[in-house]
Amino acid sequence: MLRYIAKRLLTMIPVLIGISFIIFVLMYFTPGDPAEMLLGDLATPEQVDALREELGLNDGFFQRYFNYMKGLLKGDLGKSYVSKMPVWDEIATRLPVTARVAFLVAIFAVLIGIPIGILSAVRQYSFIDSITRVFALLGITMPSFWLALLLVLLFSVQLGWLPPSGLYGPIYYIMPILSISAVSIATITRTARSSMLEVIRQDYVRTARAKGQYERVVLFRHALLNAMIPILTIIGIQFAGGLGGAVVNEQVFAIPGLGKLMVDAIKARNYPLIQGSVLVLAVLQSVVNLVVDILYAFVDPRIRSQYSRKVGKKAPKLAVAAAAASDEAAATTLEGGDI
Amino acid sequence: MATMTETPTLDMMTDVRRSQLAETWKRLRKNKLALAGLILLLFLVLVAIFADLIAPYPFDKQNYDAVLQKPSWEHLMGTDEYGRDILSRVIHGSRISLRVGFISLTAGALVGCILGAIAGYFGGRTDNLIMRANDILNGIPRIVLAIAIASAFKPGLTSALVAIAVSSVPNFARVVRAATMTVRDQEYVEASRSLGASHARIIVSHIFPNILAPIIVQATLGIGTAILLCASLSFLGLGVQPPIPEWGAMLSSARSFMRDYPYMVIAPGLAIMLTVLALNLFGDGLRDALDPKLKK
Amino acid sequence: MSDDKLLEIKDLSIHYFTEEGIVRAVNNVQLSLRRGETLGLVGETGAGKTTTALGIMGLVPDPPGRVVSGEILFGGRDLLRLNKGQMRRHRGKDISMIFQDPMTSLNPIMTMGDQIAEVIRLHEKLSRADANRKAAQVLEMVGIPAQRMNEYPHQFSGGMKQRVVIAIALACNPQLIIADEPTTALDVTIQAQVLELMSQLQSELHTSMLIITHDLGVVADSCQSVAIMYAGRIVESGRIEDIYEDTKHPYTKGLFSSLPSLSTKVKRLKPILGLMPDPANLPAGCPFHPRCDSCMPICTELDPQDTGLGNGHMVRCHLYGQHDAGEDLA
Ligand SMILES: Nc1ncnc2c1ncn2[C@@H]1O[C@H](COP(=O)(O)OP(=O)(O)O)[C@@H](O)[C@H]1O
Ligand SMILES: [Mg+2]
Repeated sequence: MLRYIAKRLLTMIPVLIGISFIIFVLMYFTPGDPAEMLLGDLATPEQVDALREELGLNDGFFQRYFNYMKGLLKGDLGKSYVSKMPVWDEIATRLPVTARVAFLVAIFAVLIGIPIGILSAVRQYSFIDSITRVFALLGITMPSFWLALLLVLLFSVQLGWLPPSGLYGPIYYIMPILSISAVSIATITRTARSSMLEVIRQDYVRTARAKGQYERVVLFRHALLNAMIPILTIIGIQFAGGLGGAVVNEQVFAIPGLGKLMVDAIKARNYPLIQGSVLVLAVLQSVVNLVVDILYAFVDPRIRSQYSRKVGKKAPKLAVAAAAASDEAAATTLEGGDI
Repeated sequence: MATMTETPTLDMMTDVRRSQLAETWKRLRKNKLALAGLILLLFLVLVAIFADLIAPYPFDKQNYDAVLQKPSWEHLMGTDEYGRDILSRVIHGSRISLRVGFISLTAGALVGCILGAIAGYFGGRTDNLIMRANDILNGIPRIVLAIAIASAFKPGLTSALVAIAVSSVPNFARVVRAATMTVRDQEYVEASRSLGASHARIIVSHIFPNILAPIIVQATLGIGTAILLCASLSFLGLGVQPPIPEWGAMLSSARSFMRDYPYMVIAPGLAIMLTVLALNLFGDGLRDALDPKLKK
Repeated sequence: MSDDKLLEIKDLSIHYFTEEGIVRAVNNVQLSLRRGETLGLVGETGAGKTTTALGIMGLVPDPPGRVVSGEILFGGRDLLRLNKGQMRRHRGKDISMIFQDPMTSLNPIMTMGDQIAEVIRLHEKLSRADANRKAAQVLEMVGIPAQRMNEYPHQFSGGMKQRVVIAIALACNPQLIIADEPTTALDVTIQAQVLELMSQLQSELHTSMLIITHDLGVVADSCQSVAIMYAGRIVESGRIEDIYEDTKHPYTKGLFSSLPSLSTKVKRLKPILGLMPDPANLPAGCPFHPRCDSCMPICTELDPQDTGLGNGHMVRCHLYGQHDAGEDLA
């Protein structure tokens, strides 16, 4: 297990390098001169040239990429064009907000989605099942920012129960979490339902019943644990969804998170800040993907043994093999809500 | 596809496929929800095509005598801050959304299918390389990726298109790769390989027709996601810009008036939801019809 | 006489109520099994053998399946009248079942040891450690070294998996084991080993057994009585000598003549023509009549009744039962 985690950690390195490269390329080809942006309109061409030289902007592509990576390794994400502060400092105050919202959304969605999905599967074709499926469909098709607006209309404007914006206490989290998690709840419910339906029909579940096992244990230990593999995949994907939802809905609720920072930075063409925000969000997502992969191995001995049996050079190929199981799961689950 | 007549077996294959198509349609017809989705979708497409005829007013006609009006017989969904008829704008918005969904998805699907098929067909190092690249794109939440791409251009229709197209590639590549791997080693593929057909030809004429089902399903659902994504980008001000009547952009400007004129945020949101709902209902039904094993 | 009957099934009917119609999988089945005896239940795929077995276990998938009539007397108690909890306590302890496909019958994410210990802990008051110890013994009993307790199904071959399935079934010394085509999914060489193991363990433990198979060879080797099933009905049953030496039903005769056996007198293989009817759409009269060599006018109209031929030999065919039917009518 430890070896598995270690290997999976190693495979994260190329992914992170790749992500930083893509972001660098995007920003490299973006029009506009960072030096001019930093100095503002009043700067003389000489000042701009001097700053370009200082920032290394006159270097070639590879030299600049190299410098950028060197900075990254030292934790230096550059300076914000607007506040002139280190990008990392600005992000550091915002990241916890977004991360907290995204994790709360994920937890909320899992706690609601999995039990409802199971119930719906166990009582297939019942009234509860039909209701669940209708709501899941609505959840997937409704844009989260629109749901947010509707919630504000209802709970803040009409009823006056909840504050429409800001993030100053627990009560402020209610609407953001509800609106962002709707898609995740719906998708997790659907996946849990279809995955449970699939597993309940398996012979080994019948075997467990034939042993005289309690129905509750049959459902949870035998069926649900096996059904968890595709559910885990979708939880990972939904975390990305929640993170994305947070980025958008921070705008609606005026939440001072990374998403709002990033969107404001885009409007101000504040490239270092954009770059840094995207990178940090991507790292966060990659870590979640890693955790999901480790959880797979925890649940499924077949994935575990793929790692322990073959050692050494073959590691990358094996990672792909392990990912194949999750691919299959993801391929059979809804694309809807996968934003 | 019908021109492939090198060997009798290929003819038989097309026949089999044709009868599969008939079977699929038969099953689809029995699924009421899927049919409802299909009808709703056709309706929305017709609305988009004939928007000029259907819309009671031109979408950009301002009328300062009638700003911010509540829904009435003259303006069924009211008017916005420039006195423009909201219903007309929503009707015209279907053009933008369907077009963005369709174009960006086609582009993304094309690239995704090619990459996925190459990865699945050749396997080994090629597969590894493509799937790693996929992992990298998957490491970035999709809307964040789209925002990052959109931010590199001037905000507008084109930047939204590119951003959505690129961010839809990984999903397609993954689905197509998995499907390709299941048909890659089947007899008819090996038969034509032994007949000396080129790799490209095998992929195009033998692999693709046999993995069309998951591609079509993915595409139907993917258009829905693309439309949602476009609305989100425009809502953030990074996609289609006002005065173009894009639904997300309309919601964005309606927000400022929401407190006093709540009806302004209803129609565009409903329009997004109905469109995505139609695509999802149809896509789900199509999936069940194409793969009856999955049902029940 | 009836005292040593362990299992007696009377008039059992099980139907599946599907969208496409009612599948009459099991119809008015009569079966009985004495303590210590092995009964073979023989029939083509779709004859209703598995459904009958699931009926005994109380595991017919509901929906769509339902027991619509009958009694299943086990040691004199009607299993169909037990509540869920009572039935659950019987399963795995008094009656256990070996399923058709060992490849899919084991939970892929539980160790073999845990899967055996699970049934032991359910029915015997043992600590976890004791249950594990006993699981190890049972594993050794079916010929698998106890060190492999902590391995998972994907590390085992098909034959080894079936041994584990047998171990699970035997772990609590049940009075009755139902083996549903225990070897169909295995290689021929492995089949013999598994059968050998089963009959050896059965004679050691004095368990009664219901073997479901479509292999008359298996029946000849290990059963004392046999019941032939066709389209959800028992068409002929009795002691093995009677069935093999004094075959009555045309279907049974057909089965024997399609058997490439050296011991029977028939030289040429003669398969039964045609297919078994769809149990959702059975023909009128005797369900076998469309394929029967000796079909008579009455066969197309009236479903025959059971006819006793003495010594427990029973046949369900108008060739033998017409007089009874006539007398009943009179
Ligand atoms: N869950 C089910 N739903 C509907 N029909 C079923 C189900 N299980 C079995 N059947 C039908 O019942 C009949 C008997 O099946 P089964 O008992 O499995 O036969 P056997 O074990 O002799 O092959 C078959 O026609 C089969 O299609
Ligand atoms: Mg069977």
